[in-house]
Amino acid sequence: MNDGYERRLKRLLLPYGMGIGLLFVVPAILSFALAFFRYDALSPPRFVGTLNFPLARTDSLFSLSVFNSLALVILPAPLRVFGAFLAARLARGGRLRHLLRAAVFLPAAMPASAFALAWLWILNPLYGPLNRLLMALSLSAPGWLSDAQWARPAIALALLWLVGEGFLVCLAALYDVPRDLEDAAAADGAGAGAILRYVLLPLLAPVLLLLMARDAVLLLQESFTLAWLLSGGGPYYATYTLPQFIYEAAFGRLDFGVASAALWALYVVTGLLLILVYLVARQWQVGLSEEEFLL
Amino acid sequence: MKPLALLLLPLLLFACRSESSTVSFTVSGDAAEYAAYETLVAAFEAAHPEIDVTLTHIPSAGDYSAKLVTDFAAGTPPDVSLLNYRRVPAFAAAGQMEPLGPYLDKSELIAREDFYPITIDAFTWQGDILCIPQNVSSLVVYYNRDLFAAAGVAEPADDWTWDDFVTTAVTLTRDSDGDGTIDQYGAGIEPSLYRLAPFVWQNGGRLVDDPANPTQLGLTRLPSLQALEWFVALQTVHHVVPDRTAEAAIDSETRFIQGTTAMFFDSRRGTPTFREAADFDWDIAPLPRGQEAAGILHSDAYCLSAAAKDKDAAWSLIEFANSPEGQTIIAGTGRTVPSLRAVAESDAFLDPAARPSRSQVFLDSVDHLQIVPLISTWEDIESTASEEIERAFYGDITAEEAAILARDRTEEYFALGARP
Repeated sequence: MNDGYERRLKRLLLPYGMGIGLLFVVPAILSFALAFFRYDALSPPRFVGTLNFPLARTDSLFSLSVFNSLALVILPAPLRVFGAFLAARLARGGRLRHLLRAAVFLPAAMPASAFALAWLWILNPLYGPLNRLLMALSLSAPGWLSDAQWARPAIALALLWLVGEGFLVCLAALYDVPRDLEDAAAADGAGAGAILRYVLLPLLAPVLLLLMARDAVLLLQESFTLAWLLSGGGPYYATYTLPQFIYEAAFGRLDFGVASAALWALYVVTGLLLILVYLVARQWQVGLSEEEFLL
Repeated sequence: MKPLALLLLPLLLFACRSESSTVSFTVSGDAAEYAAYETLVAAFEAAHPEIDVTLTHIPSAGDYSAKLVTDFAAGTPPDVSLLNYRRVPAFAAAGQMEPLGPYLDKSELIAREDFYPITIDAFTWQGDILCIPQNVSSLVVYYNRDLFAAAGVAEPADDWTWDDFVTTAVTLTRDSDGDGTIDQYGAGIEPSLYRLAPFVWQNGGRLVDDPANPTQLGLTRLPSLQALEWFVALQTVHHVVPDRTAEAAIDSETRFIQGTTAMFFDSRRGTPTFREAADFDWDIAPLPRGQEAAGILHSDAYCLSAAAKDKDAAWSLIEFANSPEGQTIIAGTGRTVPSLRAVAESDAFLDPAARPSRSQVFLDSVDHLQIVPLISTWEDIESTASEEIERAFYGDITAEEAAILARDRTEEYFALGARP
């Protein structure tokens, strides 16, 4: 009975499995293999051993792109996860909860290009609402996307609003927390802040950790979309990310070998980030005892 | 019986063709340009009912380039594409282009001598004409006549100089409400190698060390470097063009259309846009001269992919597009300076009723136009060098530092590039 159910379940997954296999796994393996060839798509590939790896590594734009990619994970990821958590807490109850939920989720439902267009306006150094506000408050108004120092923070700032999915996960997890626990804490004299800090945060830590790991992987690739649309990787490579390096090597210079070698690097960086999240989790001893979701 | 069969033979051939001939044709440009190409294709199909043309239009030039590269790499390029002469060598070096010289020699509609020679040179690769040039555009100065009149400044003469230009631009740069921010800029120019090049030539300098066999950029050498310094000083010293923040807030082309920039450097490309969007009186002037007069060719051509299936049908389209009839249709958009002398010197281009009234400027400058070196990696060279020129233009580094960085960073591309 149970076996039959399992089998049926697997059969149900078959189309997805095939799709993933054909569209992701096979191309991924092929592009891994391409890293050992010189290939321009116009003439047949030529085997060159590991030559592409030093070629990619010694390209000064490569290390810069890795640095930028990491910065665009480390800057927004913790804020995004914590923001999703806070927003979920606020949207759990109250009269305006439906409105709030819609507002938090909306940016994630927008097409990336529309979202980018809105931010191009918000971040306009002279006429954007953000800088007008800053100037009205007599604060210095940075050039944002046109300023090499501020371009990365500007993109991180825009990324902060794309938390829809993490928000939904947090919201669902919050509904799983028994109200009794909060009531008990309140009876012991804990305020809203203390309940958040000492009751909800520890209980949701496994979820937040999972979200953090997911966000790190996601941002490593997705920051490129926004950086590409907002600043094209500029000014002067300030927002030039690893996916852009790969994209330009492959489709700009038709150097698929070096692009594939850089793709290996992207996977290694992703792996390292996950290990980092795991180590932090072990240090804090969260999410590893009962749920064991990461192991 | 026999004569009858012979008479029927051509008809039979004609019938066979009508089933198989489709030609794919890809262009880029704005809506007005697209409409012109639709007219061109319709006229062509009316004259050649046996050929069916599929027109694909990519609005942005950047996307266009990326799509073409991917299409060629995938082995499914458009049969006919419109390409700038700076881009053609990359495709030519990879053997992706069908040389069109032999087709042109056989043509009864057009001949090599009908074209401005420089356009033929720009598309010649390994002794063969690769693509058939559509236009002979070049960089000029668009200017807002209303702003000139309001400031009481004389309009640019045909032989104005760098100094005249700076003086004019300084006069036209204004902070009209006195709040410390400039409200009207004298000029707008994209800080790139492509824009800088004619000024280098005007100063007796060279873009590359040896134009016949380039091995590195030549911006570090004195006459070239002086031109770069003059170019950069427009922003860093004279402040007649927007600084980086102002340019990022509203780009110079938009400022020109809004009437808050007096002069804007662009090729003929700007004409349809300004005709439609600018609600002031405007005209064009030649580039201001340095030691000598020099200009830079901006030219696109119709190219035939080596992978095209029905090359004869594709050639018919290219031939038609470059016939006086085809070029007249496209010139009607205002977008092109026709590469056929006869069309360029006709009212199709020199239409006295349409702006700019000084269109003759384009034709007068043809004689001292120069082309960038033909090398397969030119796009990479240009974009890399432009990054450094931009940094100097906005004051991050000096002109000399930019020249050195541009030279060093592009050396690899010169080493990798294939030459005609």
